[in-house]
Amino acid sequence: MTDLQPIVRASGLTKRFGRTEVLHGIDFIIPAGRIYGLVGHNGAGKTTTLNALLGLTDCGGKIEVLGLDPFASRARLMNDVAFISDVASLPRFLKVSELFDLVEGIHPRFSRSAAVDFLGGTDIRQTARIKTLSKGMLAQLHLALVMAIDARLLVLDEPTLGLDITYRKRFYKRLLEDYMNDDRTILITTHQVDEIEFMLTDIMFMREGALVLDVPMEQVEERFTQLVTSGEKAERAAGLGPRYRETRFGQTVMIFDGVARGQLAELGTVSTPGLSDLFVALMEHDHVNPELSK
Amino acid sequence: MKSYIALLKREYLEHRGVFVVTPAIVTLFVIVALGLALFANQVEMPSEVRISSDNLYQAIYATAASIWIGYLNLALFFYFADSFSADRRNNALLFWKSMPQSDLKVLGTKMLAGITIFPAAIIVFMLISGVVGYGATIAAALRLPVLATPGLGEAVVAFGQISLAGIVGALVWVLWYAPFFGWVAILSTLFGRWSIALALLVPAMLSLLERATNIANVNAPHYFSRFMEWRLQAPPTVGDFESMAQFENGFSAIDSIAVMVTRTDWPALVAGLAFAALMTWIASEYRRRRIEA
Repeated sequence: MTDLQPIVRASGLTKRFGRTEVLHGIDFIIPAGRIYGLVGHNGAGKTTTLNALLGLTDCGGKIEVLGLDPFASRARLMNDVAFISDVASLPRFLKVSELFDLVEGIHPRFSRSAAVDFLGGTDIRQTARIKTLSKGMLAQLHLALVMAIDARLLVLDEPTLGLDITYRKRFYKRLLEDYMNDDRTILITTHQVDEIEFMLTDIMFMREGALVLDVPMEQVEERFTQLVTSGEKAERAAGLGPRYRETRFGQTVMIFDGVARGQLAELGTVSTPGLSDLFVALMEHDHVNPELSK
Repeated sequence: MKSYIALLKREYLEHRGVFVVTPAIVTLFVIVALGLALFANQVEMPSEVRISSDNLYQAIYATAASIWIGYLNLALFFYFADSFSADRRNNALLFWKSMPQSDLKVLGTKMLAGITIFPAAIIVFMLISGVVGYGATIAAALRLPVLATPGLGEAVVAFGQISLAGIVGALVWVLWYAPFFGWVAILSTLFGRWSIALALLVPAMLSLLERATNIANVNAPHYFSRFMEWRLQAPPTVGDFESMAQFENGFSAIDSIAVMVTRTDWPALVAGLAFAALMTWIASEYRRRRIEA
């Protein structure tokens, strides 16, 4: 039976720290079986949004995760939600085997054998003390731990921050191959957006406490076009209202939103922008992209 | 139940240094010191002391039991001062909040550990000290001609009697001082490492304020100060003996427990437990609502 209830439903979500409002009434819905990327500058409100849906902070507006108010029912919600934060948070006084014992005791959906299996391909020994593990090992251990939890929603807040490229690639590969299925939903925030682009089904961009983009990846290709052009054609393209414009090695690169590709094709080389290019295009204000005013 | 056991085990693993490792080192140190004293023939007793080896053993064990009970309560004070804010170290609160356990359950288990497994650990060392005390008495008897070798049967009976009284004494002390543990625990939740200083400073300031407001009246009752003085008084315990004469007829657990039961203000003890429970609940609500991981 298909579960039609969305995993997350937020409407008018606000958050204030003192007199400063950091979330300005954002709305979004995350259906089941999707992999969402939440991308934004530092301070854009990503972690606050995640904290709101994990029940770690109280917010204005309304947010429901798996039909529950996360702040009021955090402990209950965590039966079906797992998360990894952007900082190492595993209890340092335990050994790996003691950590598994603990989680086996306090999490009804944790499978110790699955966790041991996930650790199989790593250098981490169960007798090792957590405080002696390297940053990469800690990330692998935490990933093994949460992948062994039969959760419906997995939230990853900068899970590979500070890790080298090998770890990062292995991390996402295991996540996709060993964990993801139709019943599960993943929400990831990261600055290394190019590394997760291949696995995302949906993308959300945040800027200054507001969502500036929330679309399925298929729509990115339909809506956004990158044009590389020069000379007089660049001037003609500028008349079509690009969202972003910059000069690279004597050529002009523009990104358009909702302009037909056929119309642009005669002005230069068109392609779908990568997420990092699109992010730069949508994040920058006009005053930091002065070429738009040319 | 499974989750409570897992959380209790976590408390044990995190704080075994104070309740297991340190007592084990102290016990080992005492055994080595006694062994060296015996080996170096440094066993002496004032000539005016007249005591049988059976009574000497009882006095040694009862004193050791009292010391362990005192240590237990001191260690528990520091345990509550640390454990209620320990989860905030190294971002570990994020891990704990990712688990399907409420803040009340996590903190409640810390309180439960403080009145169950940690007293149990210290009681084990108290029992070991009873055995060590018997060895020390035998050693003393071997070196001192005025002492006869203590009988094993009498020693076993005395061990049982003192152990029973010691266990009851430990529980009475822990329950009596529970409100102070709750007090330092909530301060730990609110102020972290400053909890120990504040736990002493706040009552001292209140007492001073009470006296300052009544400075012109020398006969002012000073309710708060008197209440704190009374509430801080230690309840009777196994070592509450006036002299060695108490052991002349053998230590009686029944008599000792009767003294503890009759001299303990039970309504005040129950009220103190309710206060500790209330502090734990407030701490859990503060942790849930105000401490953002």
